[in-house]
Amino acid sequence: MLKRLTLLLCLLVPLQTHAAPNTNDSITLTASVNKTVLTENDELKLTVTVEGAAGNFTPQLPSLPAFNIYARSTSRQINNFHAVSVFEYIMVPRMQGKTVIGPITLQYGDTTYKTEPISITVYRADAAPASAANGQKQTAKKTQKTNKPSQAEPAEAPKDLPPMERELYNLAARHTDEDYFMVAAVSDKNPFINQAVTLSVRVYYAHLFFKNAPYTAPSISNLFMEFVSSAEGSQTINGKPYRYIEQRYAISGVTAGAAQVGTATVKYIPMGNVNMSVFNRMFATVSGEPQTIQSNTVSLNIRPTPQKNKPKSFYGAVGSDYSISATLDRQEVEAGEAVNLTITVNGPGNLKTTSDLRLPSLAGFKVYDVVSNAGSVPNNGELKSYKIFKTVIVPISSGSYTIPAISWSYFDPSTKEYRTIRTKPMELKVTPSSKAQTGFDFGTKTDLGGGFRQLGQDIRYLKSELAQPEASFLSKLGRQNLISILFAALLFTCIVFALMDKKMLAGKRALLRAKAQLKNAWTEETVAEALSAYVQAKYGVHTASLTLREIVAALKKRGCPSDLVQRFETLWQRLDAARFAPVDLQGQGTEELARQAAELMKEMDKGGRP
Amino acid sequence: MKKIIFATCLALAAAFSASAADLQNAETLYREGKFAAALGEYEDLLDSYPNEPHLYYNIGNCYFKMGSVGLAVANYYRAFRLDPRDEDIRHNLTLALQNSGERFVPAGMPEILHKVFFSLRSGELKGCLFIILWLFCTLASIWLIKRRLGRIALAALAILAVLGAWYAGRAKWDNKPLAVVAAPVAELRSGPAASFPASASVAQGRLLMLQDEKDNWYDVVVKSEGLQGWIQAENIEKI
Repeated sequence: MLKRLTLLLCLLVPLQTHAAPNTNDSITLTASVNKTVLTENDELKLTVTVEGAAGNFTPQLPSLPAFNIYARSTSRQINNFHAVSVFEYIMVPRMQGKTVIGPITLQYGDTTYKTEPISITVYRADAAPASAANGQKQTAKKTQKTNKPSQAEPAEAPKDLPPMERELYNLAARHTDEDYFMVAAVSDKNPFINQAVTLSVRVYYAHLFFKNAPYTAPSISNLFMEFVSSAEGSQTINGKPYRYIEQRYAISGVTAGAAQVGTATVKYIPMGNVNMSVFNRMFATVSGEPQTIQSNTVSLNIRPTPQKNKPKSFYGAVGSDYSISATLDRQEVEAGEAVNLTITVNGPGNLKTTSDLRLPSLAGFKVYDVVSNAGSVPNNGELKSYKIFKTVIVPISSGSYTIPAISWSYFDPSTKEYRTIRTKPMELKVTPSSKAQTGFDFGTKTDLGGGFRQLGQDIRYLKSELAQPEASFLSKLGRQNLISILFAALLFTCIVFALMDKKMLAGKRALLRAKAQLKNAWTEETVAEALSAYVQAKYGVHTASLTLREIVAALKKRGCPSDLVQRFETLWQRLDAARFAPVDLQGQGTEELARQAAELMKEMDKGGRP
Repeated sequence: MKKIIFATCLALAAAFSASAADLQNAETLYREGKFAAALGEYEDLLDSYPNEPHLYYNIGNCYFKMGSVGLAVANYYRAFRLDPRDEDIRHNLTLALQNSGERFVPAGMPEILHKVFFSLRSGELKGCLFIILWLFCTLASIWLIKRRLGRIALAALAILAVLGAWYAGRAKWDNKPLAVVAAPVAELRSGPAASFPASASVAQGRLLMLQDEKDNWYDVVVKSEGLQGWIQAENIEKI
């Protein structure tokens, strides 16, 4: 009996699949991305689906200068002569900003198929992105068109359900006249920036549908979204039994203001009643047009974190139960060797858009830039985020150091307060650099004889007293300003010259007067008077009251050179002789005496000090 | 008045005894091998005695013992500028520079000439210059007025010229914009940013001549090799 049944099954399955008409003669080309807002560190999955085309073909991607494609995969399936080819591309952004994935083309036969362009916004990993208002509007329009809940009076959700479950129930209750529908709800519609909120998208079905029903995740604007988990269940709504498939995501707002979760879609081909037997399900045929259902949109209001009491160590994390730890890869190093310092933060919120940690001042260390890496891991239906900060610190000198506690703050939305967590202080022992010691060339350790052997060389010992080199007289003098010293020297010189000039000018004046007298000297008396007046003015010697011997002695005493004194003595004697000699002698040598007197005075002026 | 003088003397004595105690404390720490703690003591004393060569010398010793040859060289250099006659400072500076592959006495220069050039402190040299200048002024005045001591005045002028040239040379050496590599290894780049390619790596303790400064980067010439490039300010210690 069992053999016959198996044989019948083997015969019927191919017959039924061949007999099933291929209702999709037209080719559809669709392209979708898993997210439209992402950071530089995120991956973007581009899915290109070709339905209805058989054979070996590849859609033509447009030029994508803003992305690096580092993985691609292709899967092809044929169900009832309906071929579905899915091409997946994993890409990472190369630059920040808005970019567009242009139309993807497929040349199939004589026809060229094209997809719609997809706008993508890429933000810096640690920067808050700008508003994505345009994206929100577009998404809103679509949802207004597509999401048409039933006008029937919905049943109230049971009171004991959690808020998100209640909303899902209430939304589902509006669709009870439909066999297939989708609803979406979030756990909190007014979250803070970076606060993780659960988004649940449920596909309710009262009848079965064929597999390979493509599901498109909801589009998002001003939000980050991470897939968390998938579940199935059943629920009776308004007395009608439904099964549902649930997709859970963690979403978080990136800037304050409005944000929106767009529609998620499922394209399915209905099969029959949920309660259809296993046998019937196996032999059901794919029939009818593919149907599309869409979930409702969800609007969120992202709130900024309060400014009041915001700690300096707050870098943007929001959530509760964060933890921080820090490790050094070594506890003992030599001076100048690098030590890796790793600080890890774990918690529930979105850490990708939080700023990088600023390390406290580490005296005695050269600290390199902090490099961070953020990610998230689904864990028991929740998303656990982590951010790892890595830096290299290099101790400059030896000693025992303590890396102080590193603070990190987050905002707890449940208490609406900032909380600060700290790492434990870490000890690091730094020994003197062996490279510095071995690199030293002390010369050859030689035996110099006489019982003396050089073993090595070291720096000399400390100075136990202060030198105070500035206390010496020369140093004190040297501290004087150079300009003032030079100015004083110049002033001194000027005074000296002024004094010198006074005496010189007096001598010059006396010479001029004497010369004038000599010009009109007709008698020896006049010549003697002129010479006497000059000697008195130049040397301060009064000839009238002194004998010749006394005059000569006075002149010598005043510094007049001896040869000039000698000449003066001779001239003075001749003048005396001429003045007191007989008459016939007079007048013969007056001119000569006047000339000699003029010459003597000239020489006295030139070289006869003072 | 007597009370004021007494109080001043007392305060001065207290200050000196405090610094002596601090020096003693720092030396004890150094002997015990607690070089970082001794360094802290000496650096505190620097606030009170900013131009004290022995403090810079001791700080240099602490850094040398801690393995920071670059910072040791910088501090020995400061001490040497303040007291170039001190043999211990000269010895330790020479040793520290040798350790980092540098020469203290320039190649080709006899050491005796180097010692003569640095036989006087800058302040002393300046003081001598002033004395000789005044002596010359006085002698020149005597010669001008009395026509005496002319030869001595000329000799004074010659000494003044030599001292002037010596002082100018020392002033140039003292004011050289020098720095030393303080980081274990520093990279020399072709421009004042980390984005420029590195042309050489310079070891700790190497002497650098500063040429220019831009955005926390210095244009330097490595004295021993003559290489020029940009180095990050945090990697060097200005002398």
